[in-house]
Order: sequence, then structure tokens, then C-alpha cells
Amino acid sequence: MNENYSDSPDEGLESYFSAMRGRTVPDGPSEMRIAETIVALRAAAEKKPNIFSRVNNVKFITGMAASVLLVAGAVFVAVVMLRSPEVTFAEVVERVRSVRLVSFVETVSMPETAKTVPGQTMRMKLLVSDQGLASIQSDEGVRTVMDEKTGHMVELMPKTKTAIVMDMKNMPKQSNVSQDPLEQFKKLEGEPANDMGKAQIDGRKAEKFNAKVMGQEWVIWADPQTREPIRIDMTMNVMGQKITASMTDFDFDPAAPDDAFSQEIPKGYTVTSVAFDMPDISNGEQNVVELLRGYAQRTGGKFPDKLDDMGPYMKLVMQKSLSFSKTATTTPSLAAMHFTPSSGDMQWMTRFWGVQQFLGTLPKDGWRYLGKGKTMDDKESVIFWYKTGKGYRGIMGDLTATDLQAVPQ
Amino acid sequence: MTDWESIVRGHGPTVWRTLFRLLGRRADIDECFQETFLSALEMSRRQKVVCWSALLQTVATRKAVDRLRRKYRDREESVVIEAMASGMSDPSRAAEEAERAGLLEQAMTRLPARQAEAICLHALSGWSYQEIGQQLGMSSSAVGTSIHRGKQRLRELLEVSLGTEPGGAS
Repeated sequence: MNENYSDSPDEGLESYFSAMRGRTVPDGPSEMRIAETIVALRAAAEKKPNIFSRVNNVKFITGMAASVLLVAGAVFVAVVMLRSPEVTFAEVVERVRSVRLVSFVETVSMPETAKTVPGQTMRMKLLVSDQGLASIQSDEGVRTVMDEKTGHMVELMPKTKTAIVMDMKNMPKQSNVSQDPLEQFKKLEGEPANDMGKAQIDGRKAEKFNAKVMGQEWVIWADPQTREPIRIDMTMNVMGQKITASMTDFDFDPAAPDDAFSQEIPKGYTVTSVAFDMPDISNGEQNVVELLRGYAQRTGGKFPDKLDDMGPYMKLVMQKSLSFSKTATTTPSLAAMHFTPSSGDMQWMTRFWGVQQFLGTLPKDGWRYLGKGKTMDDKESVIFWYKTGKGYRGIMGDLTATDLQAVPQ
Repeated sequence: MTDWESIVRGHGPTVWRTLFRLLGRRADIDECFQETFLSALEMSRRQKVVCWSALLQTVATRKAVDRLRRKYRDREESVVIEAMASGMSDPSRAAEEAERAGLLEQAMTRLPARQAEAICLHALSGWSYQEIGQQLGMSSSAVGTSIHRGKQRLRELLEVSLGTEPGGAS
């Protein structure tokens, strides 16, 4: 194939080409990349070509990401509830701690544009067990069942008779904040939520609380009689759009059919299998390093203002992964939202959960983040330190970790 | 009907290698891999595909070159290449090779895209002028001329960056 290969006496230049040819190629492509590509090609082949076809064809990633986010949402509920020592709220927490199964409805909306633009609301029903199982049923008929302990997820789309089988490999076995939310109710301790006093919600008397967790604003209404939450609202900003997730219709220990968490795929479905390698997040210090490294790589070397605020991290992922189809009014539509994070971004965000878990194991004054305003060029600066049983450890601006003789001021 | 699974599984590793040799970073390959196959699908709608392997390698090379050009688009050529060259004091051969590949990667972005593609297919994939011409729609002689000029430009760029002849920087 190469009769012209040595056509000129340019040994010097050839050494550069030789270096490039000699790059050690890592194993690949991964099964996930292959599966994604096959799905995208099949879908694209069935459609008339247009520039948006690729976005539409990888929608199954949207489902996967949505599932992960929904489970994360359930974890948020747990975290918020555990962060209040208020008597009434503590009773609510105690009530939740005692349940084995909980169902609730989650409605995601864009309140600022919902009145003027249709299709601004997504609604889904979740059933979550204390055994790490979650079933999510969307109003559009898509059903997702996740087993967080095994990392096995099945998504069924009846309209197209399509199933996505996803295996998240290397799921952490113990004490992971992204796992079983009900177990987190029983283990975590936190800071108090603010008791906002008595209020009315959905026609019922309630005790109202608010809290700020990981950069998100949370409002919780609880029934003082039953000690159960009535409604929980979480608001976040995504690419300048305010998005609110409301959790309502809580039902504790409901009667559930035997197949509520079945991952069986009906006959006649086209199955696509994908795999996602979870990074090892058992090393807390390493999680901090990798989270900050990922941020710096995405921002030209800068570090975030806060370590435990999810907003800036999500913004970086969303900027690349989230798109809104424009409506006639040019207002972004929630129903037309496409969230397509890369495998690398998802792995990076997993580090965030690892950091949260790590910080949760440290006493309140047992760590400090000092990276605000610093960059990777500040090699001699300590940007994070934490207390160990023997002394202190620090992470420097160049993201190396070292033992410290004293706490940096 | 095209068997996409066979095509992806059969040619995926070749596309992967082609992308990696040029890009050198896994994160960049991930973005280009699916784009390569989708672009090939679009091309197959317009023309009969005689050899998927050749088409996919061509498209992968094009995607990789585009990716590199975007990566270095807004940077000053001399600054970028000098910055890389300053790190060549590492005595290990592996480090030296990595630096050489990085320098060539950057210098390649200063060439016209089509010329860079032809050089990559010739020097990295071992294609003949005729084979390149068939894929890029050029005559063999035009390919030869383009590659000759492109290599000359690469020599100049690398000489400027190192202050010496290419290959004599170690």
C-alpha cells in the first residue's frame, strides 16, 4: 500500500512521524462507545438526514442521565432531611427512617416560562426501596428500573419497543452517597435546616423548612400530625434557566406488585447493551484531587470558588451536554431538552459524590478549601487540607498531596 | 440494508487507532469516534462505498485534523510550539518521542486541512499517492505535489520551533 512511502530524503522529519506512529494506543473502542455508535447509526439510517439527527439519536443517554439524576434527587431528599435537628423535623426524619419502601411523584418544570410555552413540565413516578432498587415511570411511558447494588439498569420504551440495558461497572459497595437513599437516612448527620414556621401547602397545614445543600435551594413542607413530608421543592439554575423539581404524593410502605422492580425485558424488544465504568471513589483524597483536576482542565487551570457547590461543576457539564430545541417563541423548552453527557463527564461528576461522602466523614472544622481565586500555577499554595488521625494532609496547587506540619492560614 | 454493527465492530479498532495516533488523547477520540461513522453514513448516501476501511480511515483522519485545528486555532504558532519544545530536557526516550509527536501535531495544524489529511494518510497510514487520490478526489501527481509542499512547510515550522534541523533536537 506504500510504494511512495520513502519518496524523499527527510530522515529528520520522518523521526517526527515515527514518534506519532509509535504512540501507544490504549484499548478501545469501549463496548459502550460501540453500542452508542451502532444505535446512533441505526437511528440515523432510518431518518432523513438533518443536522439534528445525531442529537436525537443518542437520546437513550438522556434517559440514562435522567435516571442517575433522579436517583441523585432522592439522595438529596435524604440529605436535606437529615440536616435538621429541629424536633418536628427530626420526627419526620425518624418516620422516613422507619420505612422500607417509598413512592413519590417528581415534577420538573421551568417556572419562569411554563405559563407561556407548552411542554415545560416533565412528570414521573418513583418507587424506591431500602434494598437499593428504584423504579421510575415517566408520563411518556418510559420505565426505568435500577438496581444500585449491582449497577444494573433496564430502560423500556414501549412506543418504539426498545430496551436499553446498562451496567455500571465497579459500583462502590459501601457508604456511597449515590447509593441507597434510605440507608443514607440512617447513617448521615448534618447541619440544621431553617424552620420557617407554619404554612399551608396543597390545602394542608404544614411545618415549613428550607436548606441549602450542595448549592441547591431546598424547601420542605412536613405534616405535623403524620410526621411525613408533604412536598419537597428543589431549585437550581441550568444555563441561566431556573428549573424546579417538586416531589409530592409521598406514600410510605405502599403495597407494591411483586414485579415492581422487575428488570425482565418483554419479548419483541430490540435490546441495546451499554456499560459504564464507575471510577473508584473509595479514596477520599483522590476524589478531591480528581474533581479539582477535572475542573481545572475544563477552565484553563482555574479552581472553583467552593469545593462542595455542585452548581459550577454541573454548569461545565451542562454547557457541553445540554441543549434546548427552540420553540417558535425562541424560549427554551424543557420538553425539548437533550442532556448528552460524555462518559468522561459522567465519571468526573461521580467524583463529586465521592467528595461529598469524604467531607461527610470529616468533622466540621476538620477540613478547609482554599482554592478560590487560585490556579494550577499556584504550585506552592495549599488549596485544600484535612485532618487525619496523625496530623494534617494538604493538596497543593499542582494537585500533589503532602503531609502538613501545621494548618495553613 | 447496511449492517452497521458489523461495520462498527469490524472497523472500529482501525478508526480508533487512526484517531489516537493523530490526537493522542482519549477524550478527543471519544468525541470523534461516533462522528466519524455518522459522517461516513452521510457520505454513503451520496456515493457507493467500495471500501469501508478506506472511507472510514479517510473520514477519521479528516475528523482528527479538524479537531487539532480547532484545538490550536486561536493560538500563536511560535508560542505554542516553543512552549512544547522547552520541555524537551527530559532525557528519557519516551518523553522525547511524546514531545516529537506533540510538536508535529501542532505543526500539522498550520497546514491546509486537505494537505494535512494527505500527509497523514501517506506518512501515518502508509497509503500510496494513488490511494489517497482516489479518496480525496485528486490525481496522483497532485497528491505528490501537495505532500511534498506540505512536508517542506512542516520542516520549516519545526526548524523555527527548535532552532535546528528536525530530528536533531535531542
